[in-house]
Amino acid sequence: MHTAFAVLLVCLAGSVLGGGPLRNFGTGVSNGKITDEEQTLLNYTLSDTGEVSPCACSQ
Amino acid sequence: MTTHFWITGSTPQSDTATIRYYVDGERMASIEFQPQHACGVAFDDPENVWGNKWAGKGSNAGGFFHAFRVPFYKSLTVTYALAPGAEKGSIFIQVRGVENLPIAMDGADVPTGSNGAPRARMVLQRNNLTMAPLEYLSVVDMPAGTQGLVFQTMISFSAANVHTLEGCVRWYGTASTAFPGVLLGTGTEDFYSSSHYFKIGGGATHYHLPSVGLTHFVSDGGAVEFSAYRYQDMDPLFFSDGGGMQWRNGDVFDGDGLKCFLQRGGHAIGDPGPADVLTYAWVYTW
Repeated sequence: MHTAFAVLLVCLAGSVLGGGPLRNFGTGVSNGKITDEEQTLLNYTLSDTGEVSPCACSQ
Repeated sequence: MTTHFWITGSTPQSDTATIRYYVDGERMASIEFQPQHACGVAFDDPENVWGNKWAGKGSNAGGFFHAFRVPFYKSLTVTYALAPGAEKGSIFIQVRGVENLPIAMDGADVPTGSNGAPRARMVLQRNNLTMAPLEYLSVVDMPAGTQGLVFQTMISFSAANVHTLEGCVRWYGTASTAFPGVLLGTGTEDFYSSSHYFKIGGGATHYHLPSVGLTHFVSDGGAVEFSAYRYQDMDPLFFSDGGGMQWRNGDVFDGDGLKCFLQRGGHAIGDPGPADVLTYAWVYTW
């Protein structure tokens, strides 16, 4: 019973906050080269279920 | 959504780099900015170490950063490249965000799809043009059928004299709202909560307050260079069926000596000349 109540609270919180878990993402480049060519820093995809695919970074 | 952007490296290359955000698989990036311009700075102004809630610069060599909330619902690709004509250089850059974080502008929620709400997008509108004296410019120009709110705007120009600053700023809550709309600034400096052509004293040429900042002001009694920003999270501007923000290169008095409420005709205040203008407008729309 307590477990079900906790799950309900989590679901409600997720719904209020935007419909899914709060989760950080991001990346960076350290001492890279910037040129005329457009380079990808971040290529990030959310799944339909809210699950996250790994960040693909091109440096 | 994104929550943080920061860049440094060779300067001015990192200040002027072309940063693109491709939202939800779009082929043309809907967000394309120079870091300095995103932070409301133009003319490669060298002021260092300043900031407010949303953006700033933490170094005297690069270090522009912002915390702009750019929502996305499937994917986000962020790229970087040199500004056209710039020399190759080094770069340090970071971008990050949080999934499912709500966007709130000091009490005005930006809908991001929760509980069936619309899904807002961030639009970055830019203008780069030469304006004739007394010409109008839509800094924000949203088409009928859209709704949303303004997050931040930046206006910069170089002009023959300070009279360009006489330009009033007006807000139109729909695409069909008639002139003069809602008056936002009785002159350009007034829109940035200053006065008298930025009479800020002590030889100062910059200021940074919670929602407004003067980031570049050079006036030798003749030609003027100017840039400034304003965030609207504490002073929200809503549009319900399109709408926009309008600025003018100089302005006019009516027959009673009042300004800002005469759309055509009138008496020009001073002698505004042509102005080379760059503007940014970050707008949430849904």
